[in-house]
Amino acid sequence: MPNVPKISETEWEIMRVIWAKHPISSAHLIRELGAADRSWHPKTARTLLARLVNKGAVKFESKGRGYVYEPLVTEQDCIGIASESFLDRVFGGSLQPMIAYFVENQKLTKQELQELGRILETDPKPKSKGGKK
Amino acid sequence: MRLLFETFPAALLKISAQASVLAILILVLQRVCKEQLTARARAGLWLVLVMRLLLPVSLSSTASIFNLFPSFEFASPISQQGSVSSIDPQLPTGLLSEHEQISDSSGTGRRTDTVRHSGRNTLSDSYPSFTALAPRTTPARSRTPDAGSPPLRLLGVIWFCGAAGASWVVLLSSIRWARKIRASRQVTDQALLSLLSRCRAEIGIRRQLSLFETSQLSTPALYGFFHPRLLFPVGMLTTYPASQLRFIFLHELAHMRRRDIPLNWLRTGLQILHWFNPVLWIAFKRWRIDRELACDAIALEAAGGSQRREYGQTILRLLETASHPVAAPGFMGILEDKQQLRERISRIASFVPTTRCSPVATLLLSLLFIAGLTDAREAGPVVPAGRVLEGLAEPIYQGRNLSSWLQAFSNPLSPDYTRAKEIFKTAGEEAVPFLLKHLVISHTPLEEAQARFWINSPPKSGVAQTRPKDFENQRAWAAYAFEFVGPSASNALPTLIHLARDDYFLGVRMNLFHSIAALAPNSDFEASAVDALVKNIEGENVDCARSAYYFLGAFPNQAERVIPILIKGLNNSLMFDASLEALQKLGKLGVPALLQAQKQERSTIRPAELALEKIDPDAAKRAIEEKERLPSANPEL
Repeated sequence: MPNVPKISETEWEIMRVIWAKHPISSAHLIRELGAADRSWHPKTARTLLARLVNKGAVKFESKGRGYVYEPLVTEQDCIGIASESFLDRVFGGSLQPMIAYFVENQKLTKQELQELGRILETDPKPKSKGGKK
Repeated sequence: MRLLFETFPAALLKISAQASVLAILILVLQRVCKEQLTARARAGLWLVLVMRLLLPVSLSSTASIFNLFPSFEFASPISQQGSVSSIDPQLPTGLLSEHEQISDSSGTGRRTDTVRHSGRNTLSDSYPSFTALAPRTTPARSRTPDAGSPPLRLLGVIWFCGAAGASWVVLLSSIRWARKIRASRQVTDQALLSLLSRCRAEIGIRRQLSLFETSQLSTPALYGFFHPRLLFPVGMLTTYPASQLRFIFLHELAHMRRRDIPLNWLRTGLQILHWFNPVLWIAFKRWRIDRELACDAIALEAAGGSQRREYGQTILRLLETASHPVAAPGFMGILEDKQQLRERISRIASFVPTTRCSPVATLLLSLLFIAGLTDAREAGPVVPAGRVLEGLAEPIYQGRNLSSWLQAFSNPLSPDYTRAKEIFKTAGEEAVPFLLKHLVISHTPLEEAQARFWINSPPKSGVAQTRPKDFENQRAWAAYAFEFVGPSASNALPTLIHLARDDYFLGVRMNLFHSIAALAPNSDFEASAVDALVKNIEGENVDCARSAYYFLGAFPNQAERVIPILIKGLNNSLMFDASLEALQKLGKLGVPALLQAQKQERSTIRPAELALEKIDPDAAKRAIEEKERLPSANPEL
């Protein structure tokens, strides 16, 4: 998945609305945002929207009198991208002492996943009496 | 600066090496005892490594694995005359500064030996019955190399830059994370929060924990040091069933119970300090993996072992939906991470709840503790020197004990004076430890405190007069007595040389010159004996210097070094006599240099010529004649 854009938490708010209600005009978007959270400033929303367009997360189309916006990426694609910098990946978490992941995510192929599933299903080897794991 | 770039890195290097050995031992043990060790025991083993890294100083024990390794030293230039380091005399330091170390003072760096000492009351190693068992401290200070050793300094700077760089990276990373997580949304769903509370109770955590959602992570995580919070990717809390969420809660809470985040910081700190050590990188990585396995084990125990498959399924489900593109294969390659996953899943699959602490694990842990945390100990009869002597009464000679005979030296006119000399001659070796005790070890804590007070004030000749007189005199007499003890004192020679060089009391120093001049020539300690004398020559006290010049004559083997000094001494009116006598003792050895010096003499005062006349009259005559023959622009003629 080559060029999935990095989306910050605030930009995510906008994306949520777009994912929920696409195609959507900017005015409508701003209304929705304001309804959920009063502190949204229209100017901020427009700036972030422009940024999202530049990143390639969102495209706009001409529709009737104005423009409407459509998402280019799915929610699933965007979660957690850029949670690690290059250095973080290289040094494998030694440089992230403040966080403890549940699973260190890997991109696994279908076979690998299946294999792990098989391992999970196998009965444990017969152990000697009172043996610990 | 020196502390930062030389002392500290040097100490760190030693600790790092020891820790590496321990780390390898742990890795091997883990592999060998794979079946017997629970996940939690595996993770626990690493705490021993952490302790090793945090304790620079430790107790000695023959069970230490470090006995297998040669003593790790940053040695000053080692004598070419013999292996001095095999003796490694450990000097009594009741009164001496702990920081001193005789290093190459001659500047030529050629034939010097090193006389090192640690900060404990011990007698010379080669004095067999009194080898000390001191908790052998290995403080960095007594092992640092000579001041200003350039290659070490460079390495120290490199180390510092590396550590600073790594710290910087961690700091940036932490700031970045804080920024990312700042905007996460708190979860208020009551059902979820009560599930979390129940899990907290099951694991046994009283501390409050908040639940947050974020778009910045694709996997759940525990985050934060001061206010830990559980972070979940957006949507997961609604998509996953409560049973699966429970597993995740339990796992992350297990991290909390094990205090993993603080341990993480500790590990990162140690990692930064030891950034140059690849063994520790591997060890720490393994520790992280073991930590995850341990948390799985805790979570499964709380959830009930029969749930293990569902637990595993949760993990697999997370992996399936991972959208995380792995662009760059890091150094800790992807393959390795996949193998870890395999290990994790297979441990989950074969999980068996255990309630008892495995006896194997406990045994291993204890052995590891002892072997890994103690320092190497010197072999040999193990008797604390000071304590033995305290127990023993001083030898009695002709009805009086040794101290009493020392007192006899106070009055050169009394007949006891000569008698005392005889006594010490006959006593010989027997008297040596007791003399040393008088010389260097204080009798009472009060005296020791007094002595320390005087050491720490800068030594000036005036100050010596106001010290507790008897105490000092006794020391000086003990030093004097060594003259008569003769060759039996050879084993104490390093101590004597050190005192002759560095003792604060000139009475002690001067009295020792005689002994070292008698014992040191033709031994391994020749060069450092000459060092001691030279230091006194350069010192402030005239009598000391004069005496030192005189005794330089006892070292024909060191002629190359000694003769130029003596010739300089000739030119000093106060030192002329002593230098001359020394040169006379050296005889023919000094003649070439004297001839040279004589040629260059122009003034009416011609000490070299005078000396030459005394030592080798014929050569002198020839030299004088030759000089008169040559036309020379002599302003004085």
